[in-house]
Amino acid sequence: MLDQKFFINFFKKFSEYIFDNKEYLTELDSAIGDADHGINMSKGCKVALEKIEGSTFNSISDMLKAISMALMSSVGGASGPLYSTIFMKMSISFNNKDNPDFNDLVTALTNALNGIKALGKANLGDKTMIDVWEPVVKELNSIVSKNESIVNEKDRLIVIAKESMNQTIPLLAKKGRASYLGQRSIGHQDPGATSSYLFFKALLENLE
Amino acid sequence: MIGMLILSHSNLIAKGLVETCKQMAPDINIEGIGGIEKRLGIDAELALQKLNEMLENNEKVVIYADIGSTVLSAKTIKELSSRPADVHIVDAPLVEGSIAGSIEISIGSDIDKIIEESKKSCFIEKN
Repeated sequence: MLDQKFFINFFKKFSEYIFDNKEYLTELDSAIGDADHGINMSKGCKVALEKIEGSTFNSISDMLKAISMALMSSVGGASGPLYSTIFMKMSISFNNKDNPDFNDLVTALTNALNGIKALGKANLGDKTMIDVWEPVVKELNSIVSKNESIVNEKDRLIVIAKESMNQTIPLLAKKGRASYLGQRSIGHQDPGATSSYLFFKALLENLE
Repeated sequence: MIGMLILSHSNLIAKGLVETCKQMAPDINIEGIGGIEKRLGIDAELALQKLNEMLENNEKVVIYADIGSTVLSAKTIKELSSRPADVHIVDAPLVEGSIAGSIEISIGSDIDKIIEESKKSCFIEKN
């Protein structure tokens, strides 16, 4: 069931993955960026966790909004406004929906993807988080349009997220600090795509 | 009046630019936000608070940002602000653009003129 507890557990799991991979994400970012993705995301998740653990919320929407604002105030790098937008768009999608179903979740994730595309103006293949988000959200939409169960397909979806993350390695960066490197960005896995894989892994594993 | 908000990864850049613009345009409402907990970065929530405060005292606010996350933060806080239509993110180089813009604000130019002169600043020849 998609209740507040589900979303709290998801965010705890996502934060755990970010904390565990703090060094790894920073290492990836030091190759093609400003070496702060792991540090920034850890800081953001820590502040957001403190905020949700210390409060009670009237709705899923309010809780996701609190996460969004916490990430915006504490991350500092590009991932701040981007992840903040993801949670803000999800919050807006779940407005007045306290018992959302899987279709609502897919709609919320689709709105989140559209939000980060509009904000960062990145497209598929630009070596960004979109390279994980777009294929996963596309597959989620395809599953619900066929009235099939996301829960049954969750392992396959996690594999799609992981493969999409790996596929950023040969790409030439077109956005962000990495784009200044030009050809030298080729051969490195994108840090934003990596944290996006962790996002979907945490979200999908939790579904039952 | 039109307010000016400077956003940078660096607190020193943000504060330094406010100082520089004020030398030419001492009476304008200009604020600079930069850095996050002594690191490089931007506290977008703090920037949003400042933007809303400035919207209370000004007809419009122009934002000048440096690169990457600061530009994304500028777009995000514009959307979340109390009056997004009155917030203009100026597509100009941070230093040259904000100095040109602050002078236009101080002589009472309209928003189109402020943006136009700021944008033109990227064509200033340096050699």
